[in-house]
Amino acid sequence: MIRAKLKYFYPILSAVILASSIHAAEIDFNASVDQTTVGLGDQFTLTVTVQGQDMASVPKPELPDMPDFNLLGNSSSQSTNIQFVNGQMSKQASVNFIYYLSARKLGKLTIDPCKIKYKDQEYTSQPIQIEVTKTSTVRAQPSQPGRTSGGQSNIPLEENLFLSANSDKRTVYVGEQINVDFTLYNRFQISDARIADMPAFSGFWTEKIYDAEKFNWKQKTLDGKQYQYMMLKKVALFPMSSGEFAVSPMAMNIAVVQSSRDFFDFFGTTKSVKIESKLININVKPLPENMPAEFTGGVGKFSIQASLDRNTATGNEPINLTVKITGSGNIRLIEKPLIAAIPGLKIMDPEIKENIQVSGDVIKGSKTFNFPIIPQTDGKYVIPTVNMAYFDPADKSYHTIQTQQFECTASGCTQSAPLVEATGMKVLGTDINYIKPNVSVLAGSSFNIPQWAWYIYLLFPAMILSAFWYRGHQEKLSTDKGYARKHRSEGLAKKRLRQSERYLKDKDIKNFYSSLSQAVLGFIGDRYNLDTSALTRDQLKMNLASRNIQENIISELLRLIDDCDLARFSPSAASDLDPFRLQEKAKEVLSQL
Amino acid sequence: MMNFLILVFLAVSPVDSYNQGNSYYENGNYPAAITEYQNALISAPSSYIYYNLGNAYFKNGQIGQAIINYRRARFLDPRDPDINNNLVFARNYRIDKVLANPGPIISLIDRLLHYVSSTEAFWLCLVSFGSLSLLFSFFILNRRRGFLYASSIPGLLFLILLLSLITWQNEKRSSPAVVTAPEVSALSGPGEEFKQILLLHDGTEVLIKEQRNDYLLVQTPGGAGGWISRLTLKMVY
Repeated sequence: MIRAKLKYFYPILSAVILASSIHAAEIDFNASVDQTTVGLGDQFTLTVTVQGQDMASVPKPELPDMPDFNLLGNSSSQSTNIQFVNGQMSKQASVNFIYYLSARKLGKLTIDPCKIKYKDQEYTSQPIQIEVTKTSTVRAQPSQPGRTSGGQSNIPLEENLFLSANSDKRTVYVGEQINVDFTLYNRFQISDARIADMPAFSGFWTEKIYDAEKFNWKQKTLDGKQYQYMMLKKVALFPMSSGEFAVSPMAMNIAVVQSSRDFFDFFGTTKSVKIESKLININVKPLPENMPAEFTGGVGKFSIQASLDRNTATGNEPINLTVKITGSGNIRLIEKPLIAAIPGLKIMDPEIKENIQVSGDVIKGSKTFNFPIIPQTDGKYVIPTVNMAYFDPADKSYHTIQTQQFECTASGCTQSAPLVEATGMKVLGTDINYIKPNVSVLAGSSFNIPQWAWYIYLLFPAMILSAFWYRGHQEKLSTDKGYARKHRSEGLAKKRLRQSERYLKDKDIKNFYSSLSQAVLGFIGDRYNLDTSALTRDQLKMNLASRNIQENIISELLRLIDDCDLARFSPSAASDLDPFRLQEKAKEVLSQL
Repeated sequence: MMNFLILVFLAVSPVDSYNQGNSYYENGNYPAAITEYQNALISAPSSYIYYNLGNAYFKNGQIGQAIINYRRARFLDPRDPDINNNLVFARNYRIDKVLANPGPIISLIDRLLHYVSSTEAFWLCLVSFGSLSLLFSFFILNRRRGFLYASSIPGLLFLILLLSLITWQNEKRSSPAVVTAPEVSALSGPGEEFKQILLLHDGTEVLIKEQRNDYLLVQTPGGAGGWISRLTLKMVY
């Protein structure tokens, strides 16, 4: 290992010296051993590393008193790393002071901290625990005196070359982010390393955070041993369902250079080994039960914004409602937010855009849902707030976020498209029809129907009833002779009385009396349906009496008939009779019947 | 002095108020037009005034008031295409949309029954009933079957017109009202302290079911209901 470094050392050394900057900077100072368990008398190395920017004059570190160890020899190596970033030069240089030691005693020994004084500041390293065993089981150390450098072949693989798989959490909620990284730790010289098996992340949505593209070794001290390490892969995982999941191991084929004893053989021989990382088990918990209706699968921390590209739409042009969800978490797994149906507006499926970034180890970004809204009918619409709920694993609860609401107006969409095309006219918009023109007289009307008007209806049933009555009357006239005679009696009597009056005027006394007698008898006959010519005076009297006619009327009637008969048959005896009085008398009597 | 008196008299006559309102409307002074039209309405209701008043309210942004006046105009003159068009237009501008869309048969019957106005229906009913009675009387008098058959025409007309009349009278008696406040929440009982159960907006048409103090129990076309303050809505008839 050391020799490998020395190979590149010389050309760089001059650059280091030239590049040493004037201003002081802090340095890193630490100490490590190549083995923490050594056999009694076995050789091991203590490396004291000084890292910093300005390494022009690094003093030798002060070794502590080590009564339990023999110092077999020492050497040093330097390396530097110069980078130009934006025209600015930055240097990272390190000096390794290597001491070859062997233990004198059995048991647990301690190497006390080393010290270094640099630019009037004192730095100390950590103490190192060394366990000294009786026999050198760890390695077969060929005791070849005079060879103090190298000799680190055949070191067991387990502790010196391994692939670690780490996850930052082992128990997560569905959709919560877990970061898993795969890091190669190495203390050998490696000529080639290839990934043999990539880990499988079944059951997870994967977002890449980091993928190694070239060897980029860094130094790290683990348990007092110094390692070179390199992160190979780092991913963010989002579990898709609850349950027990495992991230399968990553495997690598590595060619390790086994250093040769021959100083001139720079490359040595290589040995191919396969190493595997451990399986990572992840327990995914389901999300809590009290899930709000607006929950669309978001786990993390989000905010929501909405915008409308315009407030008025003419024709059937769509209005675009853009809902943007920004935040950190499983952005890709968030489904479209629910938008309540609005009568008169047709909300189409959204166009979705995602913008995902890795910031630190957190997956951040935004998801944009662009809903085209097509107005179906004219009108004024309110697009309600869009609500979205997400689960925040940090406080283990659901949060609901919402956008503001919008108002928009649609016009010109009730016109059917073919009509517009046929006439060649373009509909620009719709409005209410214009007001009615000026008038000289306003036609007054009323909401109410006047009360009296309802009574008109009564006329019509009366009409029907009278039709029924008239019909009945007509039928009786044609079927009932008595009824018919009675119905005619008055008219006939009047006619006969008028006749007799005419005779009276003409002084035709004889005819007058006969027509008057005929009128009276005819009326009685018609009225009571009697054949008066066949009746005697007494029969007539009895007949009339049986019809409840007053006595005095009957006697007057009879006297009238007697008078008429007397005047007709013996005119001389009736000379004292007044024909005018008789005429009046007949009218009076007939009206009383 | 005499001239002045005549001018005052003319200014308050409905026809002049109406024409004055029209000229305000033409100049875009809608609040003044509203006042003039309302003055014109004091003496006698007329579909023209109600229609123009509805237009002025619509242009003034008061959808609820516009709907009330269009409905009144339609009651008086249901066949006027302008009135029907603007009523539909104003209804579309409401925030609360009516989801229920009646089927073709029901809307046809509805249109048939609203073809004649309430007053027309009444008088036509009277005429058809009169002709029916006359024809029936003729049949009674001379027993000619032809009269009986002929009476079926006014008889059928009478039935349809009677249905129309009943529809109009029912519409009036169901005490329809329109929300005129921009937004009002219906409560579960007649008082401020009750829970808010429904949010109504300007122009929503409701039926008044009950009245308690200053609160009215209203029912929306969808069947939902709640108590709202008397001041936030206006009766149509």
